[in-house]
Amino acid sequence: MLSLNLKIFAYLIIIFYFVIVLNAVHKDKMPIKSSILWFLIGFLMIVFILFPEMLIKISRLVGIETISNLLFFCALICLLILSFDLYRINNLEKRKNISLAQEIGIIKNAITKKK
Amino acid sequence: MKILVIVPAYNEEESIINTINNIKNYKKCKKFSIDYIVINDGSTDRTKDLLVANNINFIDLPYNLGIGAAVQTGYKYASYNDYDIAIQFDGDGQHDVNYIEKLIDPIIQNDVDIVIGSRFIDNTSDFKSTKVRQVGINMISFLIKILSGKKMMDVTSGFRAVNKKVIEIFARNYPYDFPEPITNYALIKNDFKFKEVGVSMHKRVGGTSSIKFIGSIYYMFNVCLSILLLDLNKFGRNN
Repeated sequence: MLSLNLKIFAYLIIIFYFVIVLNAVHKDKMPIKSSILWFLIGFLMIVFILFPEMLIKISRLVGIETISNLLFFCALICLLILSFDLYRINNLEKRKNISLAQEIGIIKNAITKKK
Repeated sequence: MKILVIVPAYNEEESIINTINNIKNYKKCKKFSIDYIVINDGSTDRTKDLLVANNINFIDLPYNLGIGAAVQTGYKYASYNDYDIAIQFDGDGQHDVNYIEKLIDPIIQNDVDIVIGSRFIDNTSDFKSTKVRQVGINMISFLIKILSGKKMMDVTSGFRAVNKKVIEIFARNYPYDFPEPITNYALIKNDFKFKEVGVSMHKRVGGTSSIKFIGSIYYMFNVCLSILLLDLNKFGRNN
């Protein structure tokens, strides 16, 4: 079971987390569609703090001895997926950027010729 | 028949004017009309000033895109302006304009889609690159032979001519890394007709090669791997 201190600490972090995500959506720094993922992660954190037994059950189910290992494992997988996705998006953006730069160059050339 | 010479230039202040003058002089003594376009790939030296001062037709890229994207800009320009043949020609003085006719001739005769200016055919060229690089080129060439069954000697040559069909493909899709060996392989794998003709190449006049000496082995390894992975890639499949 979680101690009261730990629970308060965890709730504070989650509140802080939600403030950041909500703020990003509010100030239009993040599209609502992609904020869903971050809200989901936040809700999962709340669920696990409310019902820590769930974590014990899950770790037994997948055969990981300690809960902390399970959490580290999950966090690592999530980060891996996330960084892969960012890498993919970054590459797509780079291509679009290069394409734009090429078109700008060609247009500049056409304008100079007309002068 | 409209012919375009694409000259990518990144920090080539020492050689670019000479290269363009050679093309202009060559143009004068030929029956067919040849245009040129210099792609200034975000040079940080005086390349751009020289191009402006000498009234040279050039595309000024807003920042350094790298050799692949710079050359593709030339192909896009060729596609937009409806050119029938595009020739890649380095701005560093390595390539010899006198071979342009030899390069485009097989395309004009409608025999092939792409002609590669090769240092390793007919012993035309005195300068054949460093030993390490030659070994690398041979290995890439060997790999291509195994995978496609076709022999291509100078796979990394940046001196080549392509027809309209290939211009349109390159304008749409062109790899940014190791463009020459990858596109050469992709084209012959997809049954485009190619021909290698012997050309003479000079030691570069100015600037530094995009393939540095120490990087040669790394380059070869990367190219081989990229060629092997090409089947997974859209560029390899669609063309």
